[in-house]
Order: sequence, then C-alpha cells, then structure tokens
Amino acid sequence: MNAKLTLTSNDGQKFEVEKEVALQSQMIKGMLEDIQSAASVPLANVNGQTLAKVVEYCKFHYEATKKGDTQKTKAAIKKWDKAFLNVEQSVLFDLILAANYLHVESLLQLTCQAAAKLICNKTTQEIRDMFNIENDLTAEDEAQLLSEIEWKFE
Amino acid sequence: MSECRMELGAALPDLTPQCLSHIFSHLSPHDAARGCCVQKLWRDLIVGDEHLWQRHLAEELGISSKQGADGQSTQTYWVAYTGWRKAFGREYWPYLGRAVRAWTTIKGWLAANMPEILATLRPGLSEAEACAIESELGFALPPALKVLYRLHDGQSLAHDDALERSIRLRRHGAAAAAGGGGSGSGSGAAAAAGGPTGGLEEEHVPLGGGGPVEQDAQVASIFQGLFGGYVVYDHQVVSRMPPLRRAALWRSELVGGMAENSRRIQERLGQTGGREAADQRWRVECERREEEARRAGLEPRASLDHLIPFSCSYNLEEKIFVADAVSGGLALAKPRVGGWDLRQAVPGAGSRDGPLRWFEEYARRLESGYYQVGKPWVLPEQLSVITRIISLFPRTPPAMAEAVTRGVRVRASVVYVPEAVAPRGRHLFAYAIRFSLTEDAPLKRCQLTHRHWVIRDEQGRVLDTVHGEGVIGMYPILEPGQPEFVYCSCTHQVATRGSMEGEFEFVGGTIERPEGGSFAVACPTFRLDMPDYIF
Repeated sequence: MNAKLTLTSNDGQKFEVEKEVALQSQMIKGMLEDIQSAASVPLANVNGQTLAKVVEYCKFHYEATKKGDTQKTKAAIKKWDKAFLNVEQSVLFDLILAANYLHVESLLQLTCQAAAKLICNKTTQEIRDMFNIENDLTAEDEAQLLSEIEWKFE
Repeated sequence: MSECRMELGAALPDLTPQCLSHIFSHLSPHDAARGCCVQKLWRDLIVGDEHLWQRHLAEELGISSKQGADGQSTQTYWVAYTGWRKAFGREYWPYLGRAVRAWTTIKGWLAANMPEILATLRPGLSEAEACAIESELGFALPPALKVLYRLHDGQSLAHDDALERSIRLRRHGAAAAAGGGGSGSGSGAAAAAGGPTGGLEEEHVPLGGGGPVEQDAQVASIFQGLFGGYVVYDHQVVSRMPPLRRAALWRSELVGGMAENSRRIQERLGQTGGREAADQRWRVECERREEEARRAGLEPRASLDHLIPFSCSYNLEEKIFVADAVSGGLALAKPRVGGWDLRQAVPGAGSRDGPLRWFEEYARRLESGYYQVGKPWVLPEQLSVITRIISLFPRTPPAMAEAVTRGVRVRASVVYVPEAVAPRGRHLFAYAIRFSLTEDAPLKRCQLTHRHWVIRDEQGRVLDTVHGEGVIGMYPILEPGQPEFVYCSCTHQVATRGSMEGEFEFVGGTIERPEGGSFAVACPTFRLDMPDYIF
C-alpha cells in the first residue's frame, strides 16, 4: 500500500510521495496505468516551487479525506484550502497551469475559483492591468460587443 | 480577493486558453460580460463558452434549452442569454426566473391535462405595449406583476372577446350620441366593423355573425379559465387571466359601474330631504359599510385607484382578484355600496410580489395534483363543447380527507369561497363529497338514503348538526367500477377556523329493492379554515 513514487520537476527537484497521493493527478494515474513499473515521473511542465505546493495540497487532501485519525471535517479542509491560497498572484497562476497539466481536478477548481474572484466586480481596464493584458479589440469589435452586453452596466 | 495579494507589474505566467476557460467558468454573468471586453482571446473564450451560458440560463431562468426571450430557439446559449437580458430590463430580472419557471410548470401541466387552455395563452406583451397601457391607466405596474404579462399576455377566449366587443360597441354608441350624432351612418359602420373607438383600442376581431360555430367557441371558452373554478348550486365561477389591455378595460367597466350605482343610490337618498341631508346619509351609509367590512377582516377601499384586475371569472363581477400597484399585493375585490372590500389572497403583506407568489403557488398546486381536471356544470345537450374545468376542490391529502366503510369510499375536500355574498360577516366554505364503491366491497350495489353532519368550532365544540334525506336532493346508487358520484354543497361559518365531519346512511341494494339492512358510512373530518392563499 505504501509504494512510493518520485516526482521530478523541470528544474530537477525531486519529491518522494506515496503513490496514493500522486494518484490524485489523473495525468500521473493514466501514465502509471500505461507503465506500471514506473517509480519515477518526470514532469516537464512544472517547476520545483510549484510542484512543492501541488504535493503539499495532494498530501493534505489524501490524509484529510481517507478514513482514520487524520480525517478532517469539511470545514477544516475548507479552512486549510483558504490558507493554502494565500499566495501571490503569479504563484496562483502557476498552480492553475500545474493543476490543469497534472489534471488535479479539485485543485484546478479551487485555484480557478480564486482567480475568478480576482476578476469579480472589476472594470475591464482593471482586469487588463491586473492580468497585464493588451486590449486588441477594434472599435468595431467593441461596438458589436456593447450592443450585446449593454445590461452589464446595470 | 484578499486571499491573493497582488503585485502589479510582476511577471505573470501566461495562462493557456484552457486554463482561462476554467477560470471563466466560475464567473457571474456580469463579470463574464465585463471579461468579454478585455481582449479578443477573452471575448472568444467567454462568448464561445456554451457551458457557462447554459449554466447561467438554467440557474437564473430555469431554462435548459437555447430558448430565446421570444420563444424561438437560438444558435447558441450566449445568444439566448444576451437575448433575454436585452428583452427584460434590470427591474424584471429579480422576478424573471421565478415567472419563467412558474409559466413553464403551468404550461407543462396544461399540455398534459388541458391542452385546450394551453392554446388560449397569448404571446408575451411587448415592453412598449405594457408602457402604453400603464400610461392609459395612469399608474405604473410593479415589475413582479408585469413580468407575467411580458411572458404571456393572458388568455384569448372567444367568450371574453365577445364581452369586450359588446362593451366597446356600447361605449362607442354612447360616445357617438354624445358627439351630437352628426356622423350618423358613419359611426354605425365603424361600430359594425368593430373599428377603433378610442383610448384603449387596438384589438381586435371584427364583430362576427355569431353563428353556431362562434357560439360553441364562446361557450367552450367559458370553461377554459387558466385559474380554475367551481360550481356550488347556482354560483359558478371559472377564473381566467385577461390580457393586460382587457384587464384595463374591465377595470374601467367596474369603475363606471360603481359610479353609476353610487349615483343611483345618492339620487334615491336625495328624493327626501335636501341635498345636504342626502350627502350626509350617503357618507354615514358608506362609513357603516366600511366598518362592517373591517370587522369581517376585509380592507375597505373607496375606489379602484392603483388596482387592476388580474384574475376574473367569465362572469366578470362574480369573482375578481385585483393586483395592487402600490402595495404589490393581490386581493379579492368585492363591490359594495360606495366602494370595494378587499380580501388579501396572498400571505405575508408587504412583499412587492403578491401576484407572482400567488401564481407560483398555483403552479405548485397544479404540478402536485392538488388541483385536477373536474366537471363543471350540466349544459344544454345541443352544445357540442368540451365541458371540463380546472377544479379548485383540492384532490390530494391532507386537503382531501378519505375514509372507506364497508367498501364505500368517501372523499371530502373544501374550498373557501371568498367572493360569496354570505350573511353578514360569515365565511362560505364549499365542499365536494365523492362517493364510490370499491372493487372488493362486500356489496355489489348500495344507495345513499340519509346524511348527517356535525360542524365544530376550533375548540371542537359542536356548533351545528344536520340530519337530512339524500344529498342535494339526490340518492346516488353506487356500484363497483362506476365513476365517482360527486356533489357539492356549502356551509356558512362565523369563524375562520373549524371543522366538519359526518355520516351517510346507505342501504344495501337500492331503496326500492333493499338487500340487507342499512349501514352508516363515515365521512372523515375535514377542516373549514380560511386558507392563507386564496384562489
């Protein structure tokens, strides 16, 4: 049961985790189904800093949801998640990319929800500033859009 | 938001379109709409996110298809959603989802149970038309009421069309006469064509010849009231939802009728004594009536100011629910000397959405089987029309009580009749009793001979007992497999809460050919309570 697996980030950091923990990643799960003997998984799209956070998340959720003395209440998990999200925006975005790449569905939901909260109640320009985005819509595009979403100004 | 500390200008990783889509899937419609304007990629992802708009359409309006505000199917959920937003302004939005859901429930029930009523629903009223009617009325209608008409502008019913035509013709005639009659034949021709005659016009139907087909259609439509009805002796009502413009016409008819009535009474009062004394007596009489109404738990009003009919029986004056544009409530309006008495029909005064809550409750009752299709009254045989109505006698327990004695099943249900002109301060409860003989009954046939009723007050004390032969003059014979025998009767009560129970005496076989002795069949207790929602 306690088989271990080593995850390697794209900058060479290694993380040894229980297999069960790593299986929260649908990507790793699929990979292990194909190569059953694998003991090491190289993750080309995730850096060490981000992978450390992902592993932290998966470890906690594995322990918190499995039956036994480490099991936590829903409220306790929620509280932990909230503290977990207390990171800089760039880290949050890295987590989103990693969760999406690794297919950790609950982490993807959690981080995307947090990112959506950043956008919430912001003006279009505020969002552009926040995400460092150039407006490439033409005046024509904008006029067309406004006719469809006049109600958003209410 | 506070969870994520922000550092503007820090190098942000580029989120892939897939990741952005995941983020956008959590946005509210307003945030998503703002997001559209950020850049082309965001616009394309958000506008193209069918799941997002499908979810918002379902969550906000309960719509699971790409149905647009005009009832037509649209290309995408985005088009459907923005279409609804464009068609219904902000003031409607808090009520729109509730109204759409209630209409959907009602239409689903009608399609399965009474398609002939479904066919009478008119398309939604346009915002421009609604505004025009409001300005003719001289007051604005609450959005929680208007939204119902915006989705379906009431019912189109041949009987009501004819009534409206005759009213407009009469008014036109009066207007022509008042105008000096100079245009003689010209106005006659306009009237015969049902042409526009003034303020409220626009509609409709030229005056038909009234042939047998038209007559059948008119009679049939009497029963096609969306809000159901009942028959208690000679009191027959079938309530419908008039289109808003017609509701405004009904209102002016009621106002005119009231003014005419008051004028006549004042005239009579003025025949003895002077003008001043007559005015004084009129005021005293009005005050006395108002006081009487207040004691009966009614709300007296001197006029129909800010009130508009929402549900009316086919025989207009018999039963009218009016929506209050100021309070947002819904009440039954009863005319009396010098004004109107209102009986609130929706619990929880003070909320601005009385008609909508009433409408939603009605939808729930149809959906749950509380109300079902029932028979109205017997018509002359030559009329080949469907005669069935939505019966307002409840059909599910506990509102319908049931007991079986020796195979005789008795089911009893009550409806509070708010419009009844009951003896002073009394409440009329109509009840329907249904008899049938079960398949496994020990008897093959039996006949009702006597009834026995006990009426109790809230504390269980006996208020009244009734012993009598038959029921409403009939002695029904029951046989297994035969349709239920149903009869309706009523009782007047002083209190708003009480109960009634009883026994029916049956004889085995028939009265003429008895087989075995007589036996008592229990009628279970049923409540005589004024309900919180009145229909």
